[in-house]
Amino acid sequence: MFRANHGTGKRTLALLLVSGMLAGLAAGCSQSSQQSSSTPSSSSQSSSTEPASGTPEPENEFAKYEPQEGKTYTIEWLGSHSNAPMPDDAEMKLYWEEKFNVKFNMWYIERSKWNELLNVRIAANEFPDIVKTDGPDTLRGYYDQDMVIELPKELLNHLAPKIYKNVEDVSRDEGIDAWTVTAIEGKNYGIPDFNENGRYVYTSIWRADWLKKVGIETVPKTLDEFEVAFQKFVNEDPDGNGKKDTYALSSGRVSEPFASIYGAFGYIPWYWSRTEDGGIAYGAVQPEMKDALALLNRWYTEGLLNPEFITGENRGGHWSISHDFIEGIIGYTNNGPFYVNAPPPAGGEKGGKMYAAFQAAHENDGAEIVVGQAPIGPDGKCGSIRWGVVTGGNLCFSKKLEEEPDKLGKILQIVETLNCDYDNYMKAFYGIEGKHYKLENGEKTSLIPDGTSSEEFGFGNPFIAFGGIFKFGQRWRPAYYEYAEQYATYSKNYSDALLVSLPSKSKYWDELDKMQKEVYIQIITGAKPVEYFDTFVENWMKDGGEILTAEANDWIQSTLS
Amino acid sequence: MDSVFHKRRHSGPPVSRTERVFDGVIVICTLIVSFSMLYPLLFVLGRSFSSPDTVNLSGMSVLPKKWSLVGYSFVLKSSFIWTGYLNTIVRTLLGTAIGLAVSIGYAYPLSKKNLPGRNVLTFMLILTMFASGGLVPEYILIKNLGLFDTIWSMVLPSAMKAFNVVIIRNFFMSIPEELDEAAEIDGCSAIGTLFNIILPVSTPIIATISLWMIVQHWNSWFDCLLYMRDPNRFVLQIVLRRIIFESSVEMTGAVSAEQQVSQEVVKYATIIVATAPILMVYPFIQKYFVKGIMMGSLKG
Repeated sequence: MFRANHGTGKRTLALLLVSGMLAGLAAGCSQSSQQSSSTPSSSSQSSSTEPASGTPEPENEFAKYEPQEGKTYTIEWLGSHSNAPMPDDAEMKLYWEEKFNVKFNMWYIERSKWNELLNVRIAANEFPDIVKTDGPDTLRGYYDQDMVIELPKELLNHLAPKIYKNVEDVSRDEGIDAWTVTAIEGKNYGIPDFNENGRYVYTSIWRADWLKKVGIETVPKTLDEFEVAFQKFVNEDPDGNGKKDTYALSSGRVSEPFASIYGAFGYIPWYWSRTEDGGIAYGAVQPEMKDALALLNRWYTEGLLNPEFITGENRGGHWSISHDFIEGIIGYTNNGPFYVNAPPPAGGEKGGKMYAAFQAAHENDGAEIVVGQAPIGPDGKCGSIRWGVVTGGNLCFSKKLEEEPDKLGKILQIVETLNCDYDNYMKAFYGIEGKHYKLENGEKTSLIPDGTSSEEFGFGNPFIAFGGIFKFGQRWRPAYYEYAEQYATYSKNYSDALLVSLPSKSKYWDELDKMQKEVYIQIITGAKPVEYFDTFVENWMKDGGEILTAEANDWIQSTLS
Repeated sequence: MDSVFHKRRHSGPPVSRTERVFDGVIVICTLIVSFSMLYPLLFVLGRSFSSPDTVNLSGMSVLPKKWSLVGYSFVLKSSFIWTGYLNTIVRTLLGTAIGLAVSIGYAYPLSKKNLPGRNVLTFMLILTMFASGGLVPEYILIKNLGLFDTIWSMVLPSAMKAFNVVIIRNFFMSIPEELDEAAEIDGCSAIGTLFNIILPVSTPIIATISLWMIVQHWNSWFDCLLYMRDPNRFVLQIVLRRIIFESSVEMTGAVSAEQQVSQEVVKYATIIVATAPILMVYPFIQKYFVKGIMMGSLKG
């Protein structure tokens, strides 16, 4: 009796368990069978449309891209990274839907996990009709997965002539073929994206009160004048505390050390630069850098450099903030783009991030900032980091649109209307004037409640799909760009000229990069003599640099032809 | 510690000087250890009440240079923060309840040595610890089950973790079989034994596993990002991540000057907002640890 009872109890339990697991298995199996049955049907759809396309006349070929009147398209849209998801009934979204007679399905992909999240959805065969990518490599990845549609330049010119013209203009201004960003195996697969702020170099700032204290009237311009000021900063007690506890400068941003000093010698070491003969060369191995390192080494031995320069000037917070500068350890910094150092009104109500942080820390002690420029070197060269207008980012479109060419046409028209016209651009990015923001003397104030994001009202990044150079900013905040033109002068040579990743990069780059960083620090601190630079160049070339340089030159030649 | 001193003073041999020094050293060491554990917490708490411009300038001190609630007002005024809180709480409670039910349901039969097919069932369980389906198949499964935008997409996939089941099973196995037999003699069913006999003596393990599940549900957000499309269904962690991003946006122009709160203060305030509830729950669960361990099931 006891035994039997015991046994049945256990058996019931086992039965429960097993049946539960079977149910789980069944659910999994049925789903996978559904999945496999759905794939062939979609592929048969695409193959059935192929014969229809054939090889029609050129005009007819474009004709099929004309959007159909009165047809309401549903567009899966993934523009610039949004900070928050856009609700379906967001005010401005409804506005555009009515205006274009479409339905937008706005995708929200969290910024920090962009590729991870998007890749899962791509693997599940979901892809937006329009998507912005962060670089040529990402586009290439989509291409390899057969997700993106070819976009012939002639077609783009036909459907969105303003966009086409902008890309051509930028290519000419920058002296680099922007189409190279979206070119894969000789065909075009998207629209390159631009950054207007990328035109300008990082600005330099000085402690105005220190300069005055050591008897320098004008902000130093040339490298020699810089050196005089630097020596006085160290030796003449500019902070007046009776101790020799000040330095002239530190490295700036830790990943971009001494950019303005290297710039005076013509190169940014970690960028590829265009050479005079039309080729491309890596900055760090140019002979001019030997002179720059010799100078930095001398400054280091003379005590002008903050000995803690290796870890950079920033200690938390926004990366553009130099704590060494704010805390009065150094008197010169070149640590960020022009707008972070800009005083009001160019930098906004309180000035740029760095400017505002400095002012907050020095409310009543007479400490002042004066904006300067990167030093002019012995050969008249001058510059600092420049992000570059051609960012490598781009806009591409789903392969599924091959079945709906008219929809592709509609999307391109929408992108052009939204992004290439001042009024529409302002509406798409900032909302309606007087309702979502107000403009006074080039000062924009947001009128949406604190703690809400622009996406909830249907404007902001998501609708900004094509970042062309139309100088819209100059129209509503002229002070910002006047400041940029004055202090962060347009100088093409200081942005990275290499826009794609080289085929052998993964093989050699990590080692070369490590070698470069180590040797540069060793030479500056005197652990290796300046002459060691020649050995470094030799090693760098030998360990793969030569191959990479050749590949980079092949690429630049291919873009110029 | 008090009682130790007490005992010594009255019944033990007289306390020598070296012993006192020894005790003193121990006390100091303990203080240092507890301080080093408390300091980061207090540091973050202090910074979260700091004003944006001074947040990075206070050095080692715990108290902020300038007091301000700006970080909290930025975080707590944000849209979706309260729905985020609610979603997280619902998810945590429901997820833990389902997780416990499923895990105990699997672990109890497995703890019986005479269960038919026990090895196979154990193997199938352990297998999931080493081989998982991966993210993409899981995404497709959830999609095809139609669980998008429902709470089930967050609580079901993580309901049964093999590791938890094994821990519970081991605890059940350590309970003397005589207890079961006694219950059966008294006419208790298998299910009845589980609820009336086994679970009451298993509070320590249940408390431990629940704490794990609570923390795991409280902290997770990636599944929510994958499966939720409606911002009203986002969990707290996503809302907070968004707030941190928003406080650090560069010149998008969509942020007003007043909103340009230093990212650091917002970060610290966010940490406190996100962890405070868990910190508050912990002492209550800890009570069960102690109680559970002290309550022996077999006495004498």
